[in-house]
Amino acid sequence: MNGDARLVVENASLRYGALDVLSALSLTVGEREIVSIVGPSGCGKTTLLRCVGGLNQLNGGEIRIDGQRVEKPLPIVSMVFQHFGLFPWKNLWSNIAYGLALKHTPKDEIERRVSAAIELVGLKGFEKSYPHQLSGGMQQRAGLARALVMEPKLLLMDEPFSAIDAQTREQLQFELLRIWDQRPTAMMFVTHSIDEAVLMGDRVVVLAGRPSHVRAVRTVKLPRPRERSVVASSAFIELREQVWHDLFDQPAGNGARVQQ
Amino acid sequence: MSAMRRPRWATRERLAPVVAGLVLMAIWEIWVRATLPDFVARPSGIVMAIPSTVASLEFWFDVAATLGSILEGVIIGSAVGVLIGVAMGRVREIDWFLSTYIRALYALPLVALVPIVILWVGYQPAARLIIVIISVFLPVAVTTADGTRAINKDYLDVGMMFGARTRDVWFGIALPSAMPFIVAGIELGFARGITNAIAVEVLASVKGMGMSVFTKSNELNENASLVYVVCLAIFAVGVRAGMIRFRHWLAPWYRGSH
Repeated sequence: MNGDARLVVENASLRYGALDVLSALSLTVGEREIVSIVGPSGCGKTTLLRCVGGLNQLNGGEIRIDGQRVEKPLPIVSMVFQHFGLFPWKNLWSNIAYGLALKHTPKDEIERRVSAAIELVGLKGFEKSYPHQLSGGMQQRAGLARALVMEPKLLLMDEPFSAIDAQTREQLQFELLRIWDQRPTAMMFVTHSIDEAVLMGDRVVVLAGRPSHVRAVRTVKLPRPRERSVVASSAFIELREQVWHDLFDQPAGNGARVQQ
Repeated sequence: MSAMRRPRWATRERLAPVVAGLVLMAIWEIWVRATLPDFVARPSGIVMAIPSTVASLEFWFDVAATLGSILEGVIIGSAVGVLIGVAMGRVREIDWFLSTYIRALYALPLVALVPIVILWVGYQPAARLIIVIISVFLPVAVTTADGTRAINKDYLDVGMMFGARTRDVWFGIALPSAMPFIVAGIELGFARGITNAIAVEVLASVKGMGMSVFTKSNELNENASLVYVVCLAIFAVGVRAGMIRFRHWLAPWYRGSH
């Protein structure tokens, strides 16, 4: 962990009716730290992310961002959505400017910040295009630009590359790492891919069980900036194995609670 | 089939309705000439009646009165329908209060209301306008309510995350995402508006194209009567084509049935 914790999740619990989804879940994300969250599908990792974003409410426990309790979405937090969530009736430029326009930011400032964000994610020349005219990869670049243009202190990534084809996904992973190296910020990265979790994260938090709790936290000691060669390193492969075992091995003494 | 034949096949598809129309008119023409008296309308008679009908000031007065009233009614009815529809779609309580009545009226043939409207405003063009407004308002309110209720949840999440207030959700998300529904409602309202405008003219003796269809026919000038009918048909077809373009312009992302 580097620096103070930007995000603190303390004893979080969540129920859907009679179903316990999360229980006594605690974690932190540092000021310049990427924390990956992995877990089997249905384990509540996206729900946890939505609670941090203020879109869902916890039944117990507390979430604080820079000391502020999260009860509704905070302006210092941005989210990148699994299915992009671009408005089909707005062109790329207006989609990316959406958050700034809602805050009545001055025109010239919007102009400047949106142009910079478009440049950063490599969408120059597509400002006037509509989402339905673009590939999934390009749409998610726009989703990323829309989040980054707000200059968030915490970036929430909800399986951002899972709806994108495999080759584009790899490309976007390294581009996100490049962008993060330019302006590092706290990031919570939810994914169902172990490779992606290890590649992106400074730490990997493994959620499992019913209800979900933190089964393991692995520190990723891979060098930054992360180059493509890192995925072939023995350190990467070893970590991937550890996380795999964290996810799928039956923990001793707790086996009855984990379905096979 | 060789690749060369493709364009010919497409042309034939387009020619088919023209051929069908010509055959039908030929049958009509021959039938009337062979078996019916002279004053009964036939295609050649309608064509011959066009110059004299179109040359009369009365014709243009009728067109302006009827189509003007329909367009005015569509604009007012759509505007009110969209506002009420968004309110019903986004506020559950408003939907509870209004939904039953709007949907009941929607299912009712509005011609049934004509006598009541005549009682209110008399045998006046205002009766036609009111009926057209109601004809358009109802389907637009219903489709707008359905469209704004069924917003993709992702859009709402994005709105919340980026700090959208209620009015930003209504007019910035719900309304544009419901646009294809709203246009469908206006299209339906337009068709009903045309039908009911003509019905009011006939039932309340309000001057216009519909009334002239009947007066010409009663004067045994069937050909002139049918010139009006053809003009109404052209208007209806034009409205439909216009609405498809309108939707494509408003909602280019939407891939509907046509």
